[in-house]
Amino acid sequence: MKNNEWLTAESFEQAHELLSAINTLSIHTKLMLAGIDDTERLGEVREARIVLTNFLTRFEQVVSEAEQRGDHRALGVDPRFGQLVSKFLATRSQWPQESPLYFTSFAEMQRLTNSEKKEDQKHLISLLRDLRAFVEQHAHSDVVGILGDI
Amino acid sequence: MQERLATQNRALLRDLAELVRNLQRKKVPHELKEYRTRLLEVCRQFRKKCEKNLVDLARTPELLEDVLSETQQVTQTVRLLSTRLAGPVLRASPKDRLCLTTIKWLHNHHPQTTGIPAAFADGDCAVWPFRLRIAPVYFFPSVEQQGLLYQPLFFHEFGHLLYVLYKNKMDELVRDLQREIEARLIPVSQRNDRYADRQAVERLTVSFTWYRWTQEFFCDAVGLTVGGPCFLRAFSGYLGTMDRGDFYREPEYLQGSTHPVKWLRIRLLVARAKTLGFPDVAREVAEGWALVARTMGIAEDYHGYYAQFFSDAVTQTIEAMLTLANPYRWTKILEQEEKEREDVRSIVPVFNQAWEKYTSDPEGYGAWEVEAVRRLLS
Repeated sequence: MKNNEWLTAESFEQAHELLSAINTLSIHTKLMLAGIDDTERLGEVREARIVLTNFLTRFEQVVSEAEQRGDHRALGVDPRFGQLVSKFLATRSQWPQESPLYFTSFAEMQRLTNSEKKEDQKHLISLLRDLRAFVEQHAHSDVVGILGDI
Repeated sequence: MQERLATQNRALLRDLAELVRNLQRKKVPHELKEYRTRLLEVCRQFRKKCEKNLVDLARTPELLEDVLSETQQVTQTVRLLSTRLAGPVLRASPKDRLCLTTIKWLHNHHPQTTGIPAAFADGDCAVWPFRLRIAPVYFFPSVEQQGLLYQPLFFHEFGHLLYVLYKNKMDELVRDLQREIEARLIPVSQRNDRYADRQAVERLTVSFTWYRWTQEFFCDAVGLTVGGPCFLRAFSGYLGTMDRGDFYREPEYLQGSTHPVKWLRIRLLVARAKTLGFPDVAREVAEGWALVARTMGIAEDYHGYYAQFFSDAVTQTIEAMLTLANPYRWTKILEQEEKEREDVRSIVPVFNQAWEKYTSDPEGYGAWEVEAVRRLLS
């Protein structure tokens, strides 16, 4: 009954799951690129790809619905996720845009996430870097909501 | 930076080891043992993460930013464990058994939550519906923890957990309701000026506010479905602070609010209670709230955030959500059968008896409750 703590907790947990997936895939991709063996992480990498693909699918769906509405806010979405989408749309409309996060299509992001090709790996690393920064920035208020501030 | 991260990960390993020692050392009621086991598993997973971070740091400097982010994740989790999640174990007491029994009963009576450990901490009624690595943690006020009367409030919080477990489908139902409300709020004739723009913004605000409101109404309905009369009485008794804000809020406080106006929640519960077969309790509760409203001279007004012309859409959505989540359903017949069998597995009849006893014999209630709790926990 208290101030929607369920929402903060849920958002905190989702952000952690996503960030963990980003980090796992980023580390694995960098090690592959450097020719360092990382076979022991393969199970985690598979799970990370699923988490990221699910996130991107949902994110694209909500982004597209929000774009269709004049106010850039989608219905049927928890307010924290809705804020993430609104922030994404607001940043994407700024010019000039240097981050690949805002000029790479979602289909391409999904392809990169699941690609093993060497030529895709550098692009994937920079995409994951920007996605991580974007999510970490957004997750800060959930962290404060859960852990408090002194 | 490399050295700094290594130092931080070594410190986290020490903290986790200390936490494991404390968790293992503490004597806990048997209802809490599964939760402790889950926490120990979380500690083990995060120790592994720290060890991996130390290995990755030594591999290539390219990984620095990733290990930094991983270290942040572990740091936040260790802090969460230390500040909130370990509390239910480290401060466990035999007095916790009643609340733990209620939570455990709820989890075990729903196939979706069977096996999810029970845990709670002191605080206003709330839940953190963690479902991935950890486990949901409930919060409950310390005075109410010891008695039977307010235990049904856990049923509402359990509703939040059910929502999370069906999140995608639940969100779709809420989205449809939001669209419906927005559509029904459009006036038959529209102006083409700034006033019309303002109205459009107001419609949007109302429909967005309904995301949170719908979940709260759903959780209220879960509580009533599971508990029957005891939930309505507990909910009304706990929420009814007789504050003016319980009955009426200015539009600026309704806008984007996290919870619907309490009077409205009671009204919807009362309407549902009548269909569930306890009209007398429903009437008694409704009259109690109406009396306070009349005394303060408050007329019902939700400033368009709730209106009769979309109440049917709200009811239908809540029904669809209940069908999806399929919570335990209290009925008079089921309660009678459980009483006759002296079925100690169900706690709901005990909570209903508690309210009956409390309303009919407040003086004798204290002694009755002591014995009822003893029987329930034996």
